[in-house]
Amino acid sequence: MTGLNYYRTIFEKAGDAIFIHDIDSVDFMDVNEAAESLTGYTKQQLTQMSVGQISAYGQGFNCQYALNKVKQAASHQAITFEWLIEAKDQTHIPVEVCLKIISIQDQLKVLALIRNISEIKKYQYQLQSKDQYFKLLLESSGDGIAILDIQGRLLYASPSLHRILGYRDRLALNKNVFSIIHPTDRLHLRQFLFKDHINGVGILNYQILHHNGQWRHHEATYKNLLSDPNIQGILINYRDITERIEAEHIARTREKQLGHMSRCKTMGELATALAHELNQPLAALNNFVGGSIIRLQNGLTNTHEIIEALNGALQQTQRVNDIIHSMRSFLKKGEANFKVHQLNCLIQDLKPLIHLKADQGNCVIHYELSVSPIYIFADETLFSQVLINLVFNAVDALQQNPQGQREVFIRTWQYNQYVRIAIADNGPGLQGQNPEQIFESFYSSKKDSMGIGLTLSRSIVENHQGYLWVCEGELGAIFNISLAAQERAKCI
Amino acid sequence: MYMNNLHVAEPIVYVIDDDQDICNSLMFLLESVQLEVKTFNSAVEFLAYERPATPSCLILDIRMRGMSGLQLQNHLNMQKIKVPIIFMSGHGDIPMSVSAMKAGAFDFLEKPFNPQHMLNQIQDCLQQAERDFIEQADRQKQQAKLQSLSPRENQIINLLVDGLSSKQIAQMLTISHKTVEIHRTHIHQKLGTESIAQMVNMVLMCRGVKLQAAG
Repeated sequence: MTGLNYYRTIFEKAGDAIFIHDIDSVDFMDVNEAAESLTGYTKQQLTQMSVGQISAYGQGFNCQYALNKVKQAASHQAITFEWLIEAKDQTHIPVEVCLKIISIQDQLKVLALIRNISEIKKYQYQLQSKDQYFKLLLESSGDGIAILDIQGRLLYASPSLHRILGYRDRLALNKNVFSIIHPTDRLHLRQFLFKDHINGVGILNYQILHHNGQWRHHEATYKNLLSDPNIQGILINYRDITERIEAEHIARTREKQLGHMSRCKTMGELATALAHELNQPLAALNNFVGGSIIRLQNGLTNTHEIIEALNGALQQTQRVNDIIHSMRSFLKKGEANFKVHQLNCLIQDLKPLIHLKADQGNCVIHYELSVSPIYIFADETLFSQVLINLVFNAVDALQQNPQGQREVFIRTWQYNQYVRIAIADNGPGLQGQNPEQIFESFYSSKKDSMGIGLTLSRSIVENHQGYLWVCEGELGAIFNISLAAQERAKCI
Repeated sequence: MYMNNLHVAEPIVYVIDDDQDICNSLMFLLESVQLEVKTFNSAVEFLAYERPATPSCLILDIRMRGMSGLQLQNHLNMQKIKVPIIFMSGHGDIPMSVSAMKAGAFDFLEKPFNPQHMLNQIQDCLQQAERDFIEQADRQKQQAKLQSLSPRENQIINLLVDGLSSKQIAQMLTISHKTVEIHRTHIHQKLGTESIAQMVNMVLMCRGVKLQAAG
């Protein structure tokens, strides 16, 4: 019997509560001390109570449920489940129950090992509330969050889906998002999202169909987490940037209009000089042709003479052509057309225009162009506008100089990976003006100018990924442009 | 009445334009009608050129670097160099054309001009230049004759031009009527005139260009 007492002591002093149930009624046959302290009832009381009386009945823990579990246990080796005990003081204690069928003195009994898991539960609850917290964050976040599988099916969408795109997440789940991506964006989106390298990260821009039928511009960051066991998908953070895109579009359009206006204005200022410049070759042309006719009528000529005169006439039409070409490409209106250009050729094309202005302002233009050709990636019309603007500004500034002392230098050279352009003059220089202020809109030292020339020039140069700045030279002001140099190979 | 017996040298057309193509083409045009042409790229070049004594006209661009066409016209007027000018302008500039015409320009043509019209204007202009040239030569001859008069003869011719009779002159100069008559005969001989009317005309003509006929 000492053996029995020995086990009895272990039973009584065990850290976990132990209940022995009758296998049929589930009533308590025996309990240990830990069971008493857990429930707050004495052994005496407990052996006269049913499972239901110490269970949180209101939460669904009742006798019937316990019986089911015992029956489960009878057919298994052992089962473990969670239970909620209602102690004597009516507190609810979450416990983990391990049921095992044992045979004591040839009678089958149910041994229930009960472990208090309220601490664990507390942590779990805290974790859950943290989850709730994150969920709340996601809901109120401006960005939408989505997880796609490798096919593009929506595995998860944060609640902001409804706000951003108008879809209900439960209707959208498991649908393929590519069906609402704009057809022109589908291919590159697929390429980006499903690039086989793991943990790929990047930014996407695409148009997506809103529930109301409108195409919206989205910007999204994505992270390929297909190999992450917790996600197993591609995580997308998306936001609607339609308003921004539209604002940018309006700004660009306005800038384009302003650019065209400014070019027209420049041409307007040059109208007189332009008429003069065109009339000059036309007059020479008339003389050559008129002279040829008279000579042929008189019969006092030879073929050689006439051919020479007619070649002279052809040269004049070429002169007219050059001026018109220079003017037309300068006034061209339309989409930007970026190409690789030989910078010095671009400047050569502008010479007729530059000389119109220089003649008007009695200035001498010096060209100090790089000996070897240098290439830039530029829109001819826009970039020409910048050059014309800077040269014309120089000519205007030089009007303060006495005649015969008005010189403009146009220099080009390559410096490492950069093409540099400098428009220098021997005028009055900056005269203490803030070099940055002169690039501000509507700032002008000229009386009859709108002052958008330099602002526009800078914004055009920046659109070419270049820089435009001004500095004081030895003689006057120097306007500098720096641009990335291009390879000749791309020129074709 | 004086010009018939004069030999007139071939006229020259001077073209001044800072546009070389205009110079070359005008030369070609003018040579088509056998005109003698000389071209210059600036007013200064033209002024530096020693011009032969021959009737001439100027085809002058109004807008040039350095001295402009108008400035050259002004300069020539100041120097009393009488040469008819046809102005050319690249772009119709009304105030400029008005001042050019006021300063005595022969014509003002806008580029591009009709070549035939230019030739017609040049022919007219050269006719005027020849008239001017002959008049000028004639005037110089007459001036030389007037300058050959003695101080006393000069005194007497001026009084005659003022309308005084020989008798009145004799009284004024306290010399005899006969002496005045002798001077008058000498004056007629020296000037090659036959009547008092011719003599007066000659003096007034020379005075008209402010030659020192009055002494």
